[in-house]
Amino acid sequence: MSPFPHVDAKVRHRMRVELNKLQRELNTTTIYVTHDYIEGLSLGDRVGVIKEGSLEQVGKPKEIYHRPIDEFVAKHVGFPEINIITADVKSDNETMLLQAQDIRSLSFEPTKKQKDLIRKNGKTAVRIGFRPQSVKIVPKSQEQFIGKVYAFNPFITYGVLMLDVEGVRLNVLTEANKHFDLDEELSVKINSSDLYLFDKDSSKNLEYL
Amino acid sequence: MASVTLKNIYKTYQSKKEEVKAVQGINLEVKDGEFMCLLGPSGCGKTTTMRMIVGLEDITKGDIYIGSTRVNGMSPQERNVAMSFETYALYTHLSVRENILFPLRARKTPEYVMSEKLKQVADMLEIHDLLSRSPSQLSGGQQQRVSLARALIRDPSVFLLDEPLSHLDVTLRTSTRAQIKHLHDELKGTFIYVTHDQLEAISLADRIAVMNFAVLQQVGTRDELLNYPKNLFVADFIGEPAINLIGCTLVTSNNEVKIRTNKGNVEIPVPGTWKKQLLDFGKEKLTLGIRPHDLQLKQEEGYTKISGEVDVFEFLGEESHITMTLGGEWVTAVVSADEQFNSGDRVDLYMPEERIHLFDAETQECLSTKIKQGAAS
Repeated sequence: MSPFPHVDAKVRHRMRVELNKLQRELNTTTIYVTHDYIEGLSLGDRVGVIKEGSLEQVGKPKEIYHRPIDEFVAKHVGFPEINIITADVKSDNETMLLQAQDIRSLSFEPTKKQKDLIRKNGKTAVRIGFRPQSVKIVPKSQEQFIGKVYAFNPFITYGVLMLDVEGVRLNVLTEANKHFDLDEELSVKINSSDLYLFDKDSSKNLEYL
Repeated sequence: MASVTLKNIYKTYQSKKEEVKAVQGINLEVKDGEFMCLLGPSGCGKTTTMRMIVGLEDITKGDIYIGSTRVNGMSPQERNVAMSFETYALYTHLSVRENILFPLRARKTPEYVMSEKLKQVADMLEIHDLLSRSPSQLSGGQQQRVSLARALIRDPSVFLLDEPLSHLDVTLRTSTRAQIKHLHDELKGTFIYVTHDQLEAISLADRIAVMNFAVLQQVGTRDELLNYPKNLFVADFIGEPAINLIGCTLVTSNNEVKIRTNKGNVEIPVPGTWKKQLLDFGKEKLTLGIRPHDLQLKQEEGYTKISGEVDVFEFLGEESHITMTLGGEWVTAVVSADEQFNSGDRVDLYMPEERIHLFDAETQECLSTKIKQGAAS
């Protein structure tokens, strides 16, 4: 069991480092149970993510974070939480466009690999996930869509900006030393290569289908 | 809304056996429209201070002003302050709508005014769909929003929030935190927010009042507290990962002033402009503080190098942490998530000279802040 869920952040960090070191020095097989994904990523050589009694995914920390098997795993690893929206697949023989259902101004041209994945699985709609650090504030000339500042919360090493895009709220990771005004309009861009694609029905990552 | 001024406030609880000094001599001015957090560990006096502002607790000594009115001895109603409680404190036998309207009904407000106000706060907190439900049917986050709505509907002069996020899970906490910030920016109201969670305070407040042992330690913005801490308590309480602290001694040789770690004898230069004053202070035993995000892997002009072996490398998703040993103490650095190290790897970390903090090891006062502020004034 996680030995330190009830201590404060400072002590938790210290104990995490101690335990990391101890485990390596003792070189003992260790099974560690925690609800805190930070502990999982930090301590585990591999991490097993469990949902409702079944093992969803087992992998190295970077696999779990960068190639989550489904929406559940994607949402449970990372802060702030990954943004996930539903998009229609609009395609003819040549081109393909992923059009966000609830955000008219947001569409993506998928990468070749993503197109192939969607075609292979014959999907007409997909769930699109993008991490808050993949949402970039850009100059007007590079704008993909516009977001309106809902709130900005600066932390120590980063800031969390919540943007309102046609009524949908998106989490954006920024530097901490920023200032945003309420309702300020920002030019935003998300690179298609940073998208995660999930199946609309099973919520499974298309890469694993 | 209105400003709030605390002038030399004391609170002492007296029992037959002992006297507990809960708050000792607090002076604080919360500006009109400011978001002020009272931050400190449990038992530091922050909640007692809030309860004195609201009028739930007598003031032992000192004066509290809301706007220009001295409110000592006034009831909470007379002060026109609103408070949202940690436990939400909703009336379980009333619907959400009646919970929110309660303060207006109690004042016999006309029906048409009530329905207009209800629409306003329900819009603001996005709880239209919940109005006819009973509080017991709501999630924690929803209950929190209803409690905020009930506090806001009265058009208070000051809005006080006591640990409003402490019972919410991580996801809900993120969205509720954004909502509270949004609410403040939209209302431009005076918010006083009590928390023991430094990240909450940092992410919400215009300024933070840090308390410990019934005494106000420092009042400042996020940047002021991080970069110009008054003492070791403030420096150590705020920051995640926490500031790296290493026991050191001031050494002078050949007209050079340096600090040397007590364990391992690592020498670290101090900015040339600090030397005279450091000598004038006459303090030999120091504690060196370095913030984990002030350390970087890239060498730059005027940066001090510290080298060592990686003890622990942690990939944490959005960022990675390198922990190594310096002067017998662990030093953690926050680096990009793209970096990859293994334990045992050699690593060079760089920090800007003027970003180090030096504390008097005995009094815990921050000497480097004193020097910087002396230079500024």
